[in-house]
Amino acid sequence: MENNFCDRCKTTIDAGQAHCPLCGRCVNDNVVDKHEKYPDYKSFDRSYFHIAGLLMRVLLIFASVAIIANLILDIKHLWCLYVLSGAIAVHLSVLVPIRYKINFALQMKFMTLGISQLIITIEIMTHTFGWGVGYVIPLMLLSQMLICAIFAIYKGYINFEYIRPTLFLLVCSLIVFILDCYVFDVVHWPSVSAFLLCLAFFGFLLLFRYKRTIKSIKKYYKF
Amino acid sequence: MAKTNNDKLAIKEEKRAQKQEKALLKAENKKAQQAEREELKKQSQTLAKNQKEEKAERRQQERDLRREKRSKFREKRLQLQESSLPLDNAALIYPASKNSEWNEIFRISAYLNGDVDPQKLQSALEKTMQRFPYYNVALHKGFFWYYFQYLEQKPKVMKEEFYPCQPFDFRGDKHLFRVLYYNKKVTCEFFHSLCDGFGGLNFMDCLLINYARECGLQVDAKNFMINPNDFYEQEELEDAFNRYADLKETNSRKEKAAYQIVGTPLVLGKLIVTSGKISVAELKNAAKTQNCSLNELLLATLMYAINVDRVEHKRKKPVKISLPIDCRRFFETKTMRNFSSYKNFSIEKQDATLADCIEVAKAGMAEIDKEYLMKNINANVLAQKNIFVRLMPLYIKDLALKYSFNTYGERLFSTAFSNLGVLKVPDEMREFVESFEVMIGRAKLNSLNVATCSYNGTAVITFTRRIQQSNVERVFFRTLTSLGLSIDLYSNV
Repeated sequence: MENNFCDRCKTTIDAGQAHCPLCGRCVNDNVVDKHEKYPDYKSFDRSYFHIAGLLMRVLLIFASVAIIANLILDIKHLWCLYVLSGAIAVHLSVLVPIRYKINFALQMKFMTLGISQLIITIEIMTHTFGWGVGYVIPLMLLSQMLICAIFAIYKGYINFEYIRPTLFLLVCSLIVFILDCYVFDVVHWPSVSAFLLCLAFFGFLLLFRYKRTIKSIKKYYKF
Repeated sequence: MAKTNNDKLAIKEEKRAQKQEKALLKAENKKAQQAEREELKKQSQTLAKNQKEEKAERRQQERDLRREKRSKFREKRLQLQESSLPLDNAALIYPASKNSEWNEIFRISAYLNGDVDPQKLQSALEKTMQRFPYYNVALHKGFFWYYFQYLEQKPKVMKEEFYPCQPFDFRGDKHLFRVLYYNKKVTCEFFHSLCDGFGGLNFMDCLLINYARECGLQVDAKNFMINPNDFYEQEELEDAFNRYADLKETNSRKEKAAYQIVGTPLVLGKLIVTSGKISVAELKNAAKTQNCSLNELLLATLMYAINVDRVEHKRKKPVKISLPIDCRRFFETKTMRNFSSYKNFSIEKQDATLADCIEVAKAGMAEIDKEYLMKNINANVLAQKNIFVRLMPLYIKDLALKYSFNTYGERLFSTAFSNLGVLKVPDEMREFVESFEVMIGRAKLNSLNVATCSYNGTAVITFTRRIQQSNVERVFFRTLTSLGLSIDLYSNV
């Protein structure tokens, strides 16, 4: 096979290649790209991705069987809800990040959602509503905000992917704070501190990196 | 009659006497001959004995020499097994800055004249490991520093299946280099903590010589820069930074942040490679017409191409190119570990032409001398020898090193341009090895890396990028073609 020539780039292209690697122009219609020097690459799927996928399916089947069994056997004690919320928590906080290789910033979002719904379910089912929303969830938000802030500062503002969890945590802590103020009539210190920390960090970003923060918000939320 | 009888008797007696004399003479002669023969026999026996003894002595001496060599080799191996190897000064930053998705890797490939036989390559690799036992190590975490631990298991050759320069898995005892094969290509990928380009090249040469021998080629490597039959020297293990640092003057690390080439990032792990083959003679002619050296021309063209990209994206930060420098050119050492420094070339002018870039490259090249490198080395070694740094636990040290990598590392340059120079193989192997190719793996922050080497009068310039856009390569190669150079391109796209 003879080498091809790209008229635009004035370069000779390897015979196995149909396109110029520089400008992408087709240099030979009859050739399908076949690299003798590089292999056809395998996908990056790793074994634990498949295991995570399998576990996700098993959890789904387990939860649905639990619901059906609960409905048939004893409808008064809804223990299937524990199973369901537990399965969702594991699914969101562990399996989804592994299966879809989610970065740490997004993982926090899923983890917050998963654990929060589990705590609220337990609270409702045990008629002890208050301790979770008042203490556990705000403390979780507080710790996650701290981790998020440390990572964002440590990475030297290079990676603005932390703007999304920051905003998410801010909204969550605001909801918890409002719930604290208006539903329970008592303001718990974790909810206040979580909300204030989220607000402070977001303000800090706006103050010192205004342009890039606004730009990344626009980019991520497509304003 | 009586007279006659007497005469007859006398004659008879005379005859008897003569006969007796003759018999005596014969007997004497026989005795003498026997004695001579015996003497000759004795002499030959003594000679044979002497020769046998000499031979035995020689054999004994040879055996002793072999035993000595073996015992030395065993001692050294035992030393390696028992004692862990500390990382050299330049290698310290790479383990701290690595993560599961990225680590600093470079790769050297050789294209042979026939398909690679994996079994022969494996046995060649095993022989090569006897010459380079200090590369048979894994990275371990200590309380204060990272260190290399000697491994019992031998490395295994693998078929190339994934994109080039995939990150190494450091969990468990795993090697810090890999040997890959694909069709006619033999590839070595190294984690940068293990060695620099010089060490990697020597390892590759040794592997190729052993592989050629496995294929039945008679290669005499006695006069070559590395002989696979030799035993390694202790100097090959040394940290040359610590040996040469005089700890007097240092270069400041404070620099302006550089322009980072803009583009859509590729999926994690994917790496696009574009290589261009150019005749060295043509390149030299082009460099002569531009009144500069070959290295300066390539550096300036790259600077110009990135500057064009910067102007397109309306960015203000300067274009900076980091040029790794082999310190062995200035400081004599046999070390096979890291011993290289760098020089950043910067251009801020928005409408810079190729001529401007050449001027910048020439001025920068003129600054590279022993003093400049010594200051760089001093800065690194002083930081390592600081008492606070030494007493800091590794977990805290990791954070500090990561911070310094983010602040003083890739942020300060747009791309790295590494020139490994002219690669050589023994004369018998010139037809066996068709070409070489060198590439730098995916960078953490930079979008693009460039590496070049030349072999048999052909230079191969390899771009590795982690973004979709090929603007820089396009401008680079088009600029070179506008200078009248003919370029053969190939890529993994």
